[in-house]
This record gives sequence, structure tokens and C-alpha cells, in this order.
Amino acid sequence: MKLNKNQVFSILLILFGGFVIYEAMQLQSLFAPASGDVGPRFFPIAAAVCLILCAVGKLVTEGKKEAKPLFTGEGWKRVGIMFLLLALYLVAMAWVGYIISTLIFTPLLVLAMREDRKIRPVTLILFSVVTTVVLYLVFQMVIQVSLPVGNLFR
Amino acid sequence: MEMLIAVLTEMLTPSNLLIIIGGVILGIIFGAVPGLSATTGIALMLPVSFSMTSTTGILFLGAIYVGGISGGLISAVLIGVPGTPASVATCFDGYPMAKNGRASRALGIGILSSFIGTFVSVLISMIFCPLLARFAVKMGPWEIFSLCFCAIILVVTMSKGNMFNGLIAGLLGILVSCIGIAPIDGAKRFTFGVTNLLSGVNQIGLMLGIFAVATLIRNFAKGDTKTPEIDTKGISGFGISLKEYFSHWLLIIKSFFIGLWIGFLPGLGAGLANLVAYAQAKASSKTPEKFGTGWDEGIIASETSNNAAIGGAVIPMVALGIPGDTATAMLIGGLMIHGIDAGPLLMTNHPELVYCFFGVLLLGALLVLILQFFGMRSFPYILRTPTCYLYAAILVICVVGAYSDSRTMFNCWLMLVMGVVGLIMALGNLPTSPFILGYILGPMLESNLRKGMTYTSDGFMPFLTRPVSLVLLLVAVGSLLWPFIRERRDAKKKANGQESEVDKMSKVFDVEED
Repeated sequence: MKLNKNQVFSILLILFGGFVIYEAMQLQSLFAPASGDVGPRFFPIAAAVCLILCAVGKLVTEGKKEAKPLFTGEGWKRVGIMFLLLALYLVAMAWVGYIISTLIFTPLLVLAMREDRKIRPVTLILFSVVTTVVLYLVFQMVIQVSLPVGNLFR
Repeated sequence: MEMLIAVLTEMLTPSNLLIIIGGVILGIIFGAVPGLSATTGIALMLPVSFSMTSTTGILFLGAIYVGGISGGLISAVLIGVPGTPASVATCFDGYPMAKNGRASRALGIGILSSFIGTFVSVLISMIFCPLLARFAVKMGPWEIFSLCFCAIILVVTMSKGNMFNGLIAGLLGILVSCIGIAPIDGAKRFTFGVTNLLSGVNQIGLMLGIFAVATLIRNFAKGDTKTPEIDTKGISGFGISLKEYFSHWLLIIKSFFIGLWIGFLPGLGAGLANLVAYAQAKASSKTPEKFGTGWDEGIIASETSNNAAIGGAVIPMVALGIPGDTATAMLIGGLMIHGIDAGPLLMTNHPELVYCFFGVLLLGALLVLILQFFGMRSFPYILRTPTCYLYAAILVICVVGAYSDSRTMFNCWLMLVMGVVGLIMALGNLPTSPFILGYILGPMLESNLRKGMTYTSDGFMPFLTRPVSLVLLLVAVGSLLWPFIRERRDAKKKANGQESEVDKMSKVFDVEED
């Protein structure tokens, strides 16, 4: 039997609810039971039980309908590219610091999202430098957050 | 009187005034650009507000809020695409009017209506909040628990779509809020040995991920990022005289109260208010056939009501600490970052802060009026901002903002993970507002539940025997049944070939409530 997207989603939610209950069962109350306190496990377990019930409700009400696709194939490719770029940006920031990584990834993000717009290299470079510098000034100087310098330069 | 002087001195210092003007302009831009909204603007600026004092921070965020709701008018009129869900109905008459070469008139009417809606509704909420708060401080943990519970359930059941999806989203929000140290006894929960999770899932990382990263990537993946064509002819002057405008006074009053009431109800905000007011205006008009062709009354109804919803939504937020929609949930988040507990005690403990918030909403409305009036000619430029540059800058701000809150790269990764969570939720049709409400109210729910259970030896009974608590719980349970009644009623109407005006209108644009 082939499951549709709504059914898969509901089943995954049920499994997630089960996982939360399992994890919550391991928690120990730090108070004596005589205090009447329900302890740290009661609330998440109650929420997870409700989650499972609602997921069953979703399965019953929406399960037979095929879900509307959120994006086209091209759309999912775009999602993948954006998350990949952002993840690489974070890795780069940890290694080479804020300034270098932002100078590199700002233009890459613009290019990734340019659609059919023509981008002049000069504008792109100028935009990246201005964005990097303005944010540096705002966060480092005004808000006084020391932005990452990068593991390589420590 | 003393309070008024204190608030004015605080607000009108040059630096605060500049921050308010900056916030309003930012808000207008976020409201105007389709795909972004006041919520995105507030999420993005939360880390910046962190560095300010609590009063300046709330002035800044409040200014963005007002600007954001009003800014949606610009794109609705000039390109026929609502900048925010709050201005869907504005498109119906604003855009045809602009196409007829009367863009100034459409914008003028919209700007005036926005101003009246915001200004008067905030004044009314200033009267109601202290009254409600006086009652709210008498509430014990039992009532507060039932109130939070009722608010979450109402948000879920009153919004559109399958109720189970809303409940699932709210419960996921509650479960995310369980991560970290538990209230009351301080037990470690679901941290899986990660030290950074001990203080819970960071608010800024979560909000930026769900409301900025996921929103932007979704817009881009859907291809909603092309720069629109705008006809700039017909933008000059105000287009309508005050006398002519106020000849519609009855409609203004009616739309205003529709907006105020809908804004006050949890879960329903400006996004629904404008549709209901428009449908109402059309139904009671002598010339309903002119609606949709560029008719003044359509714009007045939509823009007065969506801004009046601001005052309505602020009442439960300030007096009870219960956010009515996503934007007010963000504002409460902003207060929490400053260590201020938004709850029934907010008005008693921090009256100055509360009145500064009201003050900035009033001043913001005035600034929006002035800025939009004199800046009308610059509107097309805002809308022509190339999305690729705008989005790239916003994403970089998100990363830096997430980093700056906890000064760890962990928070940036958390934001990215939350972006993925946001997309997974969209995949399963789960709305975001119950999620964020569950996340904000989760700790309040749990700590009041546990306090209530330990204060007496009767366990859960006081929740059912105390009258206010019982009424709230009954309202919650009753509203859980409402969608089933509504479904049956709608099915009957559909079978008879009738569909409500609001349902029809909300299908015109694929705009989701955020």
C-alpha cells in the first residue's frame, strides 16, 4: 500500500509523540511526591499524548486527500541551494570569521536568487562591501557584539 | 499626569525619537514589500533591540509594528498584491483606482483610514487595559493556566483550515518550550547533553528561523521574488479632501468597530478584519455593484478595520500577557528578552513601559501619516527594490542577529534548523501562529499548572471549582466543537450554492495568515 504525503506526515508525528513520551519517562521529579507536584514529566507527556491524538485526527480527516505540493521540483532545488549556501556560510564564518565569510557569501546569495535579472559585477561587489561594513559597524561598534574572528585567526 | 510627563520625556529624547522614526520607516518597508510583513520585521530587529534599554527596545519594536501594518497598503494599491494579509481587501478597490490614474486618491484614502484606525483604537485600548489588568491581577495560577489554555485553543479553532493542524502546531510549540530546565523544580529536560540547550531553545534563533529564513526561502522557491512593474502616473497630491473623506463617517465608524473587535479576539487579527469589514461595507452599500471598480468605500472599510485591529490585539497582550496574533507574540518575546515578564502584572510592575508602548503606537500612527503623505512619490522605489539584494541582506542580518544574541555559532545553526522546521510545518499544512503561541505560553501554562496543583491538596479540582477558571475552560472546550458546527453549516451552504463573501474573497489571493 502506497501512503500519501498527509498519511506519512501524520505517522511521523505519531512516532515523534511516542519518542517524546519515551524520553520524558526517563525524567525524575526532584520534589517529594507529597508536595502534590506532578513533576517535570507530566506536562510534556500530556502534550505528546494530545499530539498523537491530533495526528490521528489529521490522519482521519486529511489522510485520504493527496496534499497540494508545496513547491515544484525547481522550487525544491532552490530550497536545497539556499540551505546549502547558508550552512556553508556558517561553516565559513566559524573558520575565517565574519568579515571574510560575509564578503564571500553575500554576493553568492544575491547570485543564487537573481532570477533573470542582470547583475553588474561592480554593483554586486559594492553591495557586498557595504552590507558587510554596515552590519559590522552596527553590531560590533553600536551594539558591541564581538563578531566571530574565525578559528584560523585565533 | 506625572506618567504622561514621564512617558513624553522618555519618548521625545532625540535618540529615542530617531529610533522611532527609523522603526516606522523599516516597518513601512517590511509591510510594503510583498512576502515580508510586520512579523518578519519585528523578528529581524529583535536582536538589535536587545542592546537597547527595555523602554527604547519596546519603542523600536512598537514603531515597526505600526509601520508594518500600515505599509501593506502601498503594494496593495500600486501593484495589486497585498503586502501583508492585513491588506488583501485593499487591493479590490485600491488597485483598480490606481489603474484609472487615481493612485494618489487611493493612497490618500488608505493613509487617512490607517491613521484613524490605529490612533483611535490605541486610545480605546488605553482605557480598557487598566480596567482589565485590575481584574487580571486578582487571578491565581488556576485562572492564569485556564486563560493561557483558552487562548491557545481559541487561536487554533478560530483560524482557517483543519483544526487538527492548528492543534498539532500549538502542541509542537509547547513541546519545543519544554526543552531546557523545567520550571518549579529545575530538572533538565530533552537537552541530550547539549549545554547550549540548558537555557531552552533560544527565542531569537527560533523566531528568525521560522519567520525570516523559512519565509524568505519559501517566497524564493515559489518564485514570488520578481520585481513588479509599477505605473507611477497619478501619484501627486492627496487626491481627496478631508470634507469628502469624512462624508463616509458612518462607514468609518462601522469598519473601525469591526476591526477593533476582531483584533481583540485571539487568533483573529487584521488579516480577517479587513475582509469582514469590506464584505460588510459592500452588503450595506447602496451601490454594491461599484465595489471592485475603484470605489472609495472599499478602501476605507479595509484600511480602517485592519489598523483598528492593532488596538484590539494590544488589549489582551498588555492586560493579560496573552498575545492575540504572531506580531504581538513577537512583542511579548521582545519584552521577555529584557527580562520583563509579560503577564497580568505587567501594568502594575512596569506602568511606564506600558504607557511608552501606547505612546509609540500613537506617535507611530502620526508618523506613518506624515511619512506616507510626504513620501508617496518614493513608494514605487520601495517596491522596485530588487528582491535578490534585499533578501540576501536580510539573510545576512539573520545570521549576525542570531549570533549576537548568545554570541555562539550554535544559535545560528539553531536558526537554520528552525528554518527547516518552518518548511516541514508548511509541508504538513501546519500554521505558524499557534506554534509561536504554544512556544511563548508553554512555560506559563506549565508553571501555573504545577503551582496550582501544589497550592492546595485537591490536585486538579480547583481548576474546575473556581468560577473564572471553569468558565475559561468551558469556553475552550466549547470552541473545540465550533469547527465541527462550522463545517456542517458551510457544507449546507455549499450544497445550496451559497458561499460567504469573506470565503470568496480570501480565495482571491494565496496569502496566508502568519
